[in-house]
Amino acid sequence: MALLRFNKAVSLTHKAKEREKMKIKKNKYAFDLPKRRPLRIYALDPMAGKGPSNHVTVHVENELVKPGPSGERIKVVDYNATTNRYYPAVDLNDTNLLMQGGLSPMESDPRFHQQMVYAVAIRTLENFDKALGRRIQISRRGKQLRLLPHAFNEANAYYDTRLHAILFGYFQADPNDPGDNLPGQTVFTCLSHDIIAHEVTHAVVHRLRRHLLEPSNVDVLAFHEGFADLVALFQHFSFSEVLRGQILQTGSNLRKAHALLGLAQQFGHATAMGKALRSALNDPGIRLSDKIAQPHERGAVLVAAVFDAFIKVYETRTADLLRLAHGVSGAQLHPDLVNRLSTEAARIAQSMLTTCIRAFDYLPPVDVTFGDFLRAVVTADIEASPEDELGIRAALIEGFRLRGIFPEGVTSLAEESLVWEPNPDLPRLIWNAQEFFNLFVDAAAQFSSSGSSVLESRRDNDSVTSMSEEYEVDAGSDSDIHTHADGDQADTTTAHSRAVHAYAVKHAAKLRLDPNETIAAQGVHPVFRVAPSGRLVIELVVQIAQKSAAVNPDDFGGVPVRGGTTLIVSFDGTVKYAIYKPLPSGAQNAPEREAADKRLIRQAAYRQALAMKDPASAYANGAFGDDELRATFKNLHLVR
Amino acid sequence: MTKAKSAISVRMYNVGFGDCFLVRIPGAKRELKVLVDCGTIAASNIAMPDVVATLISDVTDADGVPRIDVVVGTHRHADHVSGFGDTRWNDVEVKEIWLPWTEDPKDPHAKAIRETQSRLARALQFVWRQKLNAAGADTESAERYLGVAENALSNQQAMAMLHKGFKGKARRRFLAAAESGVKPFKSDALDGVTSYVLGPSKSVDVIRDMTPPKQTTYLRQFKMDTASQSVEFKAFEPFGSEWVVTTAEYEWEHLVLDPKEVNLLKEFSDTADPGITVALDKAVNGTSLVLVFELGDAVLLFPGDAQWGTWNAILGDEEARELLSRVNFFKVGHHGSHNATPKDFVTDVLQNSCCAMMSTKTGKWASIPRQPLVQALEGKTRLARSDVEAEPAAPFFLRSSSFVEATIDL
Repeated sequence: MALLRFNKAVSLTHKAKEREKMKIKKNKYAFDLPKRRPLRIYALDPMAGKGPSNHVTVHVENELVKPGPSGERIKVVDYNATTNRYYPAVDLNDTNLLMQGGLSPMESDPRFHQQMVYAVAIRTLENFDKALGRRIQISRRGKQLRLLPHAFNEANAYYDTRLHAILFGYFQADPNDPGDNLPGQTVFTCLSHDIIAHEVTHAVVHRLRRHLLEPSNVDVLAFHEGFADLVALFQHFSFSEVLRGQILQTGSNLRKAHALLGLAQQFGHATAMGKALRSALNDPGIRLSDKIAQPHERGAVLVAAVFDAFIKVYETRTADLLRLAHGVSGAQLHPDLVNRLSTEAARIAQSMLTTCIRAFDYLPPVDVTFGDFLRAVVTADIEASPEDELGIRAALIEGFRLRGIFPEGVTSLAEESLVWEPNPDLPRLIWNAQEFFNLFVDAAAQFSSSGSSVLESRRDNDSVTSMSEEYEVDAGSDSDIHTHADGDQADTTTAHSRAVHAYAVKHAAKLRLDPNETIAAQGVHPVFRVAPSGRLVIELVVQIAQKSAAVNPDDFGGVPVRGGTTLIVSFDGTVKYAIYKPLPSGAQNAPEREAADKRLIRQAAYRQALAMKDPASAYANGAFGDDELRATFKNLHLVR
Repeated sequence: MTKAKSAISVRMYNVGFGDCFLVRIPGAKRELKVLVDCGTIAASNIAMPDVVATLISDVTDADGVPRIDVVVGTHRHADHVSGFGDTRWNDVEVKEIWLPWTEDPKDPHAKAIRETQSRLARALQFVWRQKLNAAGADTESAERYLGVAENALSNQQAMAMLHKGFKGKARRRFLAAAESGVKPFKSDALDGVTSYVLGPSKSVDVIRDMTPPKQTTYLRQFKMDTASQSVEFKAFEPFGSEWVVTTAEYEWEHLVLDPKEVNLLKEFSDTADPGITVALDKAVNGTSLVLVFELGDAVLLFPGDAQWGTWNAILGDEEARELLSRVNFFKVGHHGSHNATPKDFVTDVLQNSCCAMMSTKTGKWASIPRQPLVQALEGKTRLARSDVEAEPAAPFFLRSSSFVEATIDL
């Protein structure tokens, strides 16, 4: 309500007013619609057992949801392409289901599967909303992200960009070595929390940084994978029963907490691996090297670096509790202590996850490396929590160092050298003052009114009206001066992108852009973040990218050579950080040019090595590069 | 002819798309003969039976008995072994037969790998044939992938010859790469020659690469009968009949996909999957024996069709790299495909003017042989191709329509 008053005070924009009207009309019980909707899911997957720690109820944002479930951002479509049939759709608003938190977990009812993919997908999106300080617009061209829980008979699941859908496969467990499954039992990838969270993260990441699907260096796809694993793994810690059980069982030694650190247990066992598909800390000694090139394996090094940091923070912050306890209890931890420890673990896990997600806005728009991610983490975290109250930042820097992940072009791993260049020599980014202001106000209104009320403004209309701008272009079509926004965006949307584009063209040199190449404004996001200290951080995050027309993509394995700049702008238009990744022609001095040239050489070499590994290229006709790019996720998931 | 006494000769028979190499090595008492592979899947103008006839007469000694000291079957692809299906090999005396460890009848891992691979080949043959016959099918691509799948069929007759056939009591060796570095070994059958096995490895990762879970779960959709060789596909329905609703009964209109989307999904879930097909090809190629023979100054490399995984392990090992830097005869892998010869190997490891031989046939698959690789090899090595007639030049002293022969000084 506080925000509502704030909105009124600053004069609501038209859309916010509309929404306000709707809300009042709808609420005959005077207050507000319920904020959350309880839904039951498997905490991990069906293999993790039938106990209360695995059958859990999660509370997701309450929205007006049609059968499917089909809501504002997520639409579950239960079509099976292998058998060419649809399964009946669950109606979460059925009175009987409303009274009991949805269907109870069961493998034999496809409608429970629909409920679970929906619930976990929303949870994952909400984690992004919270960390990024804005409502993620996952819809594309007015269409929600679709989830097909039984898309085909295959031991695989992936996000497909063309369908803007996540396709979950099902398959029969290994008849000879099924682990804890029954031999030949049907395994549904859509019943694995980790697989759902992992794939939804891919879709979100693709939305935030579409060029991350272009493997321009060895880290790009690995980052996609590692990051998706991180989100899935950290979400484990929000299941308090699982967490308490693991802390009790391991005597607070989280390194041994396999249920928490293992990813997609059932899938791994069902495919005769005898263990989880992946683990956060599989190989304690693993360090990054050129030899680790397979995206999942390389991504695992990133995951290990972050989890080392997580465990370090956890150990530091719980050492006193354990010292206190050792005088009192015997071998087993006291239940009170277990509660305290799990509260601490859950809090740190959530902070870690938030820190990692938040870093996303601080990444360069193209050709991302693990080192860039570390710098983005450090910069984003300094902005949000300058004091590093939990010691997360220091632990992350140390974790990355231990795993051999070093950013290029920094002289030391001290915070001040890792942070992106602050206060760049750039004029204020501000256009029509009123429009600039409204951009923030609208985003704030939307962010504060997530769920039910957002949906009301569009309940008779399947297309999404959003104010935060996630731009969408098809590969190759970004030769436009600026890219098109989604669906029926208000005129202000294009005004923002036009303004940013004009700014970028005018100050191309200072932004390390080549004025002779097409410049595209690819994202203008107002963000609202509440720092751990309670401080509200308001920023505008802008991505500008360009594609080199001067090089022949064939020399780079068909992957376009791109450059670009991310800007972090304060509420008053001052550019706080400029994060450059220039093309050689956009570089402004000799060291920059050298770095840009190196980047191109790296891309060519990487693409060549990749082609060498790909068996398809021997038999495909002609340009296999295109096919390979298109099918990137299909071939990547879930297993190599 | 005095030259022959102090030199090794390697004869590449023109089999078309396949490999067949006869190596003659001057021994202490008599000449030693090694045959590396004998197979084709797209013959040249010479039919395989004629190649076999020529070959057998070429290895026949003065006493009228055909003899080979070592027969090597690098891997079970038809383009490397189909010629061994010929019963005339039963008249040839062989001392030893070298095969990759994946052929070991007693090794459980090897057995699982062979079984999965040949079942997969049958399933894929079945689906690609269906595709070929389907209305409106892209027959060109179906034929291409059918060819890839059929190459991996178990080639039973040929493999039976290698496992049980030939004259005399040939010793079968099932070879694997050393866990690290290179370990030379000597065989009585090849007196004086030092041999090295650089692939295939027996490491867990490699075994997993040979039978990826994706393939094994794919296979479970097929019912196969070994005796009748029949294959049947049954779409696996995960839910009970109570969940079956017809499209007409389906009441949730807002959830129905448009026909284009349905088609795309059917394409994704199509069992005629090029990805699985080429992965099988890679997996079988991954079982390739990679052999080095060393005698005096001559160092001969026969990598079979080894692909990236094996090469990567080899090039990452210093001892192996050192050995390869001394190679002066190189059999180009996989008929000159892009992914069987790393560029680094050609540019950084291979000696200048090394003798190279490529057994291939253009037109079978568009990217084989791969032009940039051919150019790189032509720039660095003295290259002979089975499918290109050229004037004899050193070190290729002999050339006829049916073979090319190289001479490597000791």
